[in-house]
Amino acid sequence: MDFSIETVRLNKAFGAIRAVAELDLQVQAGEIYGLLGPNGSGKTTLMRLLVGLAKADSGEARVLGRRMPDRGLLAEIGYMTQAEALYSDLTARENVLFFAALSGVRTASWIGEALELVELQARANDLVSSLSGGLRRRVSLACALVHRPRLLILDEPTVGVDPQLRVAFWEHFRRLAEAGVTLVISSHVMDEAGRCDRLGFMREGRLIAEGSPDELRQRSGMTDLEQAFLKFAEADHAA
Amino acid sequence: MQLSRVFAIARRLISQIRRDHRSVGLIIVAPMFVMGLLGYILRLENQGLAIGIAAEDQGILLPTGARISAADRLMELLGERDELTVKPVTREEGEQLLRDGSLDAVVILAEGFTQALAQGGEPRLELVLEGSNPGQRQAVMIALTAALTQSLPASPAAAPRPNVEFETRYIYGGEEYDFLDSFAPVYIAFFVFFFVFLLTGVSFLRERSQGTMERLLATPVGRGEIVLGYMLGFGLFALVQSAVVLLFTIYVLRIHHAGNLGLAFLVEALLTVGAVNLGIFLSTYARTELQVVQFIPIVIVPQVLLSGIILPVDSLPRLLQVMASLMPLTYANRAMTDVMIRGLGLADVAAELAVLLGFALAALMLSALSIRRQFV
Repeated sequence: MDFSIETVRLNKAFGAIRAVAELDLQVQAGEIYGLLGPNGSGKTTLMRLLVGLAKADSGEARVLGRRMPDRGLLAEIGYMTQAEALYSDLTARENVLFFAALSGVRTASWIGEALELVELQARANDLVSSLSGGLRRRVSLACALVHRPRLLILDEPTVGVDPQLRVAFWEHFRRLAEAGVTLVISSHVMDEAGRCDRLGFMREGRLIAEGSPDELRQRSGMTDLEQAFLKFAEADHAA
Repeated sequence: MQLSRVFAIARRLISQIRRDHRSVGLIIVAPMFVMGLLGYILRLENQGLAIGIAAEDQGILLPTGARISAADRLMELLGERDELTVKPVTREEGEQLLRDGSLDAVVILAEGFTQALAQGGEPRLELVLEGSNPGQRQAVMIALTAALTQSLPASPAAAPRPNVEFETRYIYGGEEYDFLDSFAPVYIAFFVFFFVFLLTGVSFLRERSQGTMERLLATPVGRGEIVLGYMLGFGLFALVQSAVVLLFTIYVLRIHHAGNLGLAFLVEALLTVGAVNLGIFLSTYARTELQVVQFIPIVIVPQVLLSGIILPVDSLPRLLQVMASLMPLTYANRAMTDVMIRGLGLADVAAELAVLLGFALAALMLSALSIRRQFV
């Protein structure tokens, strides 16, 4: 099978802390894969390894068929960090334009389309410093997908986004997946986790359970994912 | 008002600062360092002035058969002064030595000087100066006047005091050159270095603290491209800044300049490349904007003191000269003075340009290495 992402016994430690431990992950093309876990469970480190921002201590991360880190591949990947990571002294449009240029976007209309997608046309020419937190998340998302990547890695994209827009975000994620884009999304919010095709529960750098939301509910015997996660975490702790 | 709250705040600040070892170091060590350097420089006597004396005068024969010469007497008197070294030269030798910088002034005593001095005539004294440094000019004049006054009591008290006529010439620049003229070129270099260094340092630090560096590195952009982009962006500002300062000093302050402004720009451009990259490199060692500013006393102030902005480098003690020779501003200042005041050309400042280029390349490498994609 052809995987968009395939990691083999991936390891990354910071001193004594094993942020990612012996992790095997497989994500198919066109799939929305949700990473769930408490703070410090290794989600962000895993994402940084996938983008090539961190170097694995051992193991291998293959992304879109190439071994990471691979700078040439980054034009195919969109990465939205947990921090806003925007130039607050530039306008929303200028930010999107800048990241588009770095990723080699040659079609001017893509910038407008990215802004439209996150419903930012009206504020496109406002300085980022004058935008609210939710609006900044939208600019940040627009920067991550303006170059129409085949793989989107989004670190908590909906934090601070109001419920209405969150629904719009997820509808858009689904449309992208249907068009063949692979999405890896980390989240705290369990009700949005239910919208993923598959979920991976992370704890202490490992995947402690994996499957579709329904499978995970069934296996844990719980009706909501939050309970399911706690159940798996308990079992993992006992083991 | 409750004192306990005041103390709580003070205590918090003290423990914050105490934890920041670099700030503590800066508060305590930097003032000593800067004051030490400054004191060292200010206490320096104007040593190392080298004067050549060309005696074209044969002196006069006394009735006793002895020959006395004002040149010998002058040389003796000047030689007694600690800050001067005196060297007998011919007129041609003297001018040559002035040009290559091993002499600071040449005194030429014309034919019949002693005669005129003894008989109360108007002895002519020709003074040739290097001319690009008004401070040096003053020091030479003071020493010479003192020596001449001292030599006068040797002449018969009855004789009228001879009026020594100074005829001063300059190799470069001239009398109309004042301190501003000689400082303008080096100040331009300094401003460029200072602002570009600070601007790059701060904006690169922001790039990392606001998370955009992380995002930048998640795009196909290479670190060479980042460094080059920064160089171009700030280089433009630096060139605009030097153009404005240059035009302001020439047309508003009306300083004298003799050289090729294009060449002056080349010097600035090389200096800018070095400053941008030094800013990028050092910003990796700062966590806050305040810590970038803390580099000023370490990177900027010593260069201000030693690179020839305040005193000519070759009038500094040996140890400080060695320190100065490690600083890019020293070479930029020398090149700027050569170009703007001495009106020298590309070939004459090639050595300085080469050093600046070397510095720029070294800083470029350091800065490129400091931007690592896999920074844990």
